[in-house]
This record gives sequence, structure tokens and C-alpha cells, in this order.
Amino acid sequence: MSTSAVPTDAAAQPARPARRALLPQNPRARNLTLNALPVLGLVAVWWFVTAFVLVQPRLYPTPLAVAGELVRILSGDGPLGSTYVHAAATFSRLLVAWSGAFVIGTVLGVIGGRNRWFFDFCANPVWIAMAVPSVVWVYIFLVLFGIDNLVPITALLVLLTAPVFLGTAEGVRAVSPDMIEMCDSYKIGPIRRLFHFYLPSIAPYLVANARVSFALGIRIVIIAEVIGLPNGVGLLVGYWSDSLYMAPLVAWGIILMLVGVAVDHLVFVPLQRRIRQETVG
Amino acid sequence: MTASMRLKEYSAQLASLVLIILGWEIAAQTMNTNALPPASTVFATLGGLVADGDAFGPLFSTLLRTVLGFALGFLLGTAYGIFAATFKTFDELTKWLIQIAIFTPTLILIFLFLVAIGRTNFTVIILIALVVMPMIGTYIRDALKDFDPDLEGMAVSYKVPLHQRVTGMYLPFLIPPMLAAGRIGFTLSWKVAFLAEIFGFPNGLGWQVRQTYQIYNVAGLLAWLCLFIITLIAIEQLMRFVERRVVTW
Amino acid sequence: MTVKVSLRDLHLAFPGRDGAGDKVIYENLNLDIDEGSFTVLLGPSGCGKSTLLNITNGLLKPTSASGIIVDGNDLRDQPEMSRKMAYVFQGARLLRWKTLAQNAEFGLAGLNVQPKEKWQGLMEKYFSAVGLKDYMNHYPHQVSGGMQQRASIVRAWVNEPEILLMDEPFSHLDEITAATMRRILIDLWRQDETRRTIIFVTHDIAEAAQMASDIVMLTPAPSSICYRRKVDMPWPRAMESDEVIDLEKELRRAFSEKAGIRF
Ligand SMILES: Nc1ncnc2c1ncn2[C@@H]1O[C@H](COP(=O)(O)OP(=O)(O)OP(=O)(O)O)[C@@H](O)[C@H]1O
Ligand SMILES: [Mg+2]
Repeated sequence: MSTSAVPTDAAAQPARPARRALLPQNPRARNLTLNALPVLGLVAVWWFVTAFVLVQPRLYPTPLAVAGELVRILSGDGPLGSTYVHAAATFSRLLVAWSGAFVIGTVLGVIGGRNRWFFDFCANPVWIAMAVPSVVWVYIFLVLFGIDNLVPITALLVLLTAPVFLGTAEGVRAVSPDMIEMCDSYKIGPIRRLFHFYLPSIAPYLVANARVSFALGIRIVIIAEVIGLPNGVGLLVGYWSDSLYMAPLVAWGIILMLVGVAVDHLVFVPLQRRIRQETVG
Repeated sequence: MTASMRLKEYSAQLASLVLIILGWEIAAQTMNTNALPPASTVFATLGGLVADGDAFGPLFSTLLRTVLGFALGFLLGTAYGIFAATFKTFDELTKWLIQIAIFTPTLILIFLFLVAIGRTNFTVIILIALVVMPMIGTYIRDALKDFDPDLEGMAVSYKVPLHQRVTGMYLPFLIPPMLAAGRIGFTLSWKVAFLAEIFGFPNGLGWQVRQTYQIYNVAGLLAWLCLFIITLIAIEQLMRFVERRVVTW
Repeated sequence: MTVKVSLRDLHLAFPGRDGAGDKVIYENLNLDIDEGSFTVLLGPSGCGKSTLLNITNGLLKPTSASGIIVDGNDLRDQPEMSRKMAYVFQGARLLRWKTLAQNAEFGLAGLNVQPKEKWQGLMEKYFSAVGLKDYMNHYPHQVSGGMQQRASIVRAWVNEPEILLMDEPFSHLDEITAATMRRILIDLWRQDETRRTIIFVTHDIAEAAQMASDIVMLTPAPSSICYRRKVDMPWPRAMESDEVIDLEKELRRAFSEKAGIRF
């Protein structure tokens, strides 16, 4: 064994000097460069097109104009009052509906995962809730209940409950029958069974559900606000779209996209990784 | 699955639909407001739309855009998935772009495209493709990453020719996720088309819904909506049928 | 001696897959288990030993039976009867997000053992007995498979149930640990003045000969009781003692004569 000594990093490095000139050596830095390059390229193309080909700042804003709008939005300046007030309205709606949907969907999903009849019974309504676009739900709730803060929240609740239900039911069905038998044998009551057995068993599914429904919710809440509400980010988006002014629209798109990515990568991905480690460990 | 189990499943599925429609009918009859027309009225309106042939124009123009946009997004997405699973560098290069595409709110894309590119069929098709592609692409990429490397090793060691490896190993592995992604993707396409119509594309089902809403014709709105749902159910059943036929192993 | 558990005219068939005929497990099986006995159910793999424990515990409904009697009451009319039992499964079946002690507590809470203040003492007693006192606060994945199995035995035993159902509890352990565990189990059982009834499933003839006060032998499915005897030998029984070896020989002979199994 002593002759075929494991090559050290230092020995391995000079092996590919050609790469070194182009990309960073450290794999993490290299990946980051690879990730970012096309995005930067895209911005460059955007800048080139809007600055030289389609010169019409209102319809085709330059990256600089959008950056300006971003700064304005972040400083709280907007056409219909402080942007932060609108953002707060949107996120409180989102949080209320999302957490409500998560709880309801999870409880129903556990029942649906155990009881085939209940699952079949819910299958069609759940499928309809998911297949019918969120706008339509907003319309339906609007004609039924009139304009009210409850309308978008209810619509959101209906829409977000459905995927949580399906995901949870799938998770519960994957729970080992042996373990369920163990709970039966030790006469574990419904409450303890839910909190100490089912929920921990399906923890990976719970995080996946939370993740999917949050990403969905952030889109839907905007749609609901465009149609039927006196405040919120959706209202601003609708306002800018109606006045054919694209720079703030793009800016809001970027903000919402970044919030979505940030929540995903800072909350859900680490959570999912931790749970996966615990499951394997 | 035995026949009695299937019967039980169908009866449970039907029970909820019957319950919804019954509840709707009773609520409408007792409340007796304009806001909630009875189910019977809505279905009569729907029947009228179908009988007069008024339903088909909007239905087919929406369907056409959906199918074209979906086809484009599906092709691009599948190609992306295969490339990203095969070439690590390509995967890294597109990672952020795909993230951006996934997390940008659809509505803002719709507003942007309708204004910047114009209200054409082409715009809607591109929009659908753009929304569907990352979803299908990541789905197929992740499915392919599960491809058993042992199987690959075996094929190489037994000197299996490439075309045989493709038809015998890759395709059977690829088709189930493609079908699953296709089903989810089509529903998504259908929704994006509808959303684009509601927010300004001047024809199709979504446009009809918006029109009826604006003149507060609730029966009309619900009738168009039922048409939308029924079409979706029909297509879904068709795709499930195909899936069962194709995936026999 | 009073009968603790009695299964009368037991019939069980599982529906066959893909149109095949039903798989009959028991046809008219009758079994009485004496109070305070250490009854060993001995039978080949797949003959329905685990299934029999599941029926006794009320986890599985037989196709038909004229009685599943526990302490004179039919389990099907009074499901509460199954609270008198604790079950050690063939696998450890621990919750991986709970420590060994919390797993034991899970069972105590489910079977509602009173008073609660006793729990800590009970757990310490039985975890010490199986040599796991220092591992009570470990998670299952932090201890070996054998330790997990021992923890699952504690989970059953802490309830101090009147009836202990044990399904091949030592078959996954190495022979040395298994021998120790057998001795500990017998000691614990003999220490209690009111002897618990133990129904112990195994396919290991030597294990049966070493532990049983009562041996029930099952044939392959559709299974019936082909042989039964009491064992009047004091414990601890040395494995290599003549009596134990004679008993093993007899059991082997019974297996080949009555159940048609050759060695
Ligand atoms: N849910 C079920 N559906 C169909 N058949 C079953 C089911 N459970 C058990 N069986 C069958 O019943 C028979 C008895 O199973 P059981 O688990 O009781 O065997 P066992 O005697 O405990 O065997 P082992 O010693 O291997 O644990 C087996 O042939 C098994 O295939
Ligand atoms: Mg068994």
C-alpha cells in the first residue's frame, strides 16, 4: 500500500492549470460563478436591448430604471401610500391563510391517509380546489360574500389546504403498518398518536408541504389582491399594470421572487436537510 | 384491486360531488339571492351554451393556446431535465435562472408580457411555456438523478449498444416521470392560459368569465367555470388512461 | 390452575392475491394458556405464530372464533381486556425521534399505567435489569440493534402487565446476548410473587427447552397444535444438562413425527 500513496491536494492541483485561468479553484466558488454568470449575462442582454434596440423606457425599462424603482420601493415610497404598509397587509394575509391551511390540511390529511373512504370522498373537491385557478376562487367568493378582507384569505385557505392535504395523506400512507400496529397494541390515544407518532413520522412530508404551499401562496395572494382588495402588493401591481408603467412592475416581480427564494433557502431547505439527516441518522 | 373496492372508491368520490351540488342547490333555493343561482340554473345555462354552440369558440381557442404552450414547455423542460441530469456544469449554469423562473410570480409575468410583447396568441403560448418548462425540467432532472448507477455500470460492462441502452433502459426509466410531470404541467398550462385571459387577453374561457363577472351575471360565470372544470376532468381522465396503457411494467 | 387466555374454534384465512384461493392459516384451532405459565409457542416460519399473538392482543380479527377469552371475558366484547397485555414485537419498533426512556414512557402513557409517579422508578428498574440504565437517554440510532431490542422488551415490561406477549424477542440477538437475556427474563419472571403469564413465540428448539413451563407446537399452515407438554424442570436450566438435551431431542422427534418436519 505504501507505494500507491494517496495524492495530497497540493499534488493534485497543478494537474489542470488550464481550468484555473477561467474559473475559481475552490468548488464552492466555482459553482457560485457558474450560477451567477448566466444571470449576469441575462442582465447584460436586457440592458443592451432596452438601451439600443427597443428604446421605450415606459414599456421596456432598463435595468437601471428598475434598480431605481427598487430603491424607491425599499424606501417606502409608492403611489398609494407606504409600500411597507401594503407589503405588511399582503404578508399578514399570506401568513394567516398559510398557517391555517397548514393546520387544517395536515389534520384532514392524517385522517385521509388512514381512512380510504374519507380520502376518496375528499379526492374530487380537493382536485377541483387545485385545478380551478385561484382567480376564479376569488371571483366566486367575491360574488358570494362581497368585498371583504375575508375573501382572499378564505380563497387562499381553500387553495393551500388542498396540496397540504394530499401531501400529508401520502406521508401517512407511507407510515409503516408495523409501527401503527405497535401504537394499537399499546392503546395510544388519538391526540398522543397525532402529535407523538404521526406528525414526527411524516416530518419530511410536513416540511415539503409547508414549502410547496408557501411558494404557491405567495403567488396567489397577489392575484387575489389585484382583483378584490383595497390594499396589498397586488393592488400596487395592478395599478402599475393599468397605467402601463413597467419598471415598478418588474421591480415588484424581482422583490417577490427574491422573498420566495430567500424563504425557501433560508428556512425550508435547511429544515428539510436537517430532518433528512435525522431520518437517516 | 377487487371490484368491490373499486365500487367503494367510486361511490365515495361520487358522494362528495353529489353532496356539493345538493348543498349548493339547497343553499341557493333558501337564500334566494342573485349572488348564488341554483345549480340547476347554472347547468341549464351551461346546456344552453353548449346547445347554441357558443361554448366551443372560447373553449377551443383556450385549448389551442394551452396545448401549444404546453407542448413547447414540455419539450424544453424534458430537454433541460436530461441535460441538467447528465452535465453537472450545465446544471450549475442554469441553477439560478431556473430558480428565478420558478419563483417569479406568474401574474407579474403575465402583466409584463401582455404589455411588452402585445396581446397575441404567441405571447400566451410563450408565457405558458415559460411557466411550465422549469417545473417539468426540475421534475425530470430530479427523477433522472435517481437513475441507478449500478444499472449504468452493468450496461457498460456488458457492452450494450447505445440505441439499445436508450430504448431498453433510459426510456422506460424516463417515461413515468415524463407522464407524471406532463399531467401536472398540463393543469398548470391550462391555469396560466386562463389567468392570462382573465387579465387582459381578449378571448377564450377566461375572458368570458371576466365578462360575466363584470356584468354580474353569476349564472353565466359559474356556467363557464363548470365548462372549464369539466374539460379539465375529461383531459385528466384521458391522460390517466394513457398513463395506465403505457406504464405496464 | 386457572386458564388465563383461551382461544376457541379459531378460523383465519387471508384473501388470496390475484385470484388465488384464500390462504388458510388456522382451521378450528383451540388453545388454553394457564395463568402464571411460561408458554412457548414453537413452530416453523410462516405457520402463524405472530398472527396468533396479534389475535390474542386484539390487533387482528380472526375470520371466526367462538371465543377469544381473557380472564373469562371475550376480547371482542370487552376490548379493555387487551390492556392487561404488553407486546414485544418481532422487530424493535421504537420511535426514532424518542429516547429509549421516552419510548418506554410512550407505552406507559398509552396503557395508562397508574400512578404516574411510579413511572420513573419502573423504568429505572427494568432498564437496569436489561443493562441499559446508562443508555436511557440515548436515541435508538445511537445504540446497537441488540440494545434496541432490549429497550423494546423494557417498553413492554415496565407496564408490569398480567400477560406478556413476546414474539421471537431474541432471534435477532447474538447468541451470547441472547443467553444473558434469557436468564434475565426468567429471573424477572420468577421474582414476581404473582407470576405473569408469558406467551413466548420462537422457532428455536433449544430456547424453548431452556425456558418453557409449557410447550405448544404448531404445524405449518394451515396450522394446528400437533403436540403439547408441560415441563417440570426448575430454573435456571443449564443448556448442556441432560434433562434439557433430552427435552430438545423429544421436541425434535415430535416435530418430525407430528409436523412432518425433518432435521
Ligand atoms: N396481512 C396478511 N395478509 C396476507 N397474508 C398474511 C398476512 N399476515 C400474515 N400472513 C400470512 O400468514 C402466515 C403466518 O404469518 P406469521 O407472521 O404469523 O408467521 P410466523 O409464524 O410468525 O413466522 P415467522 O417465524 O417467520 O415470524 C404467513 O404465511 C403469512 O404469509
Ligand atoms: Mg413471526
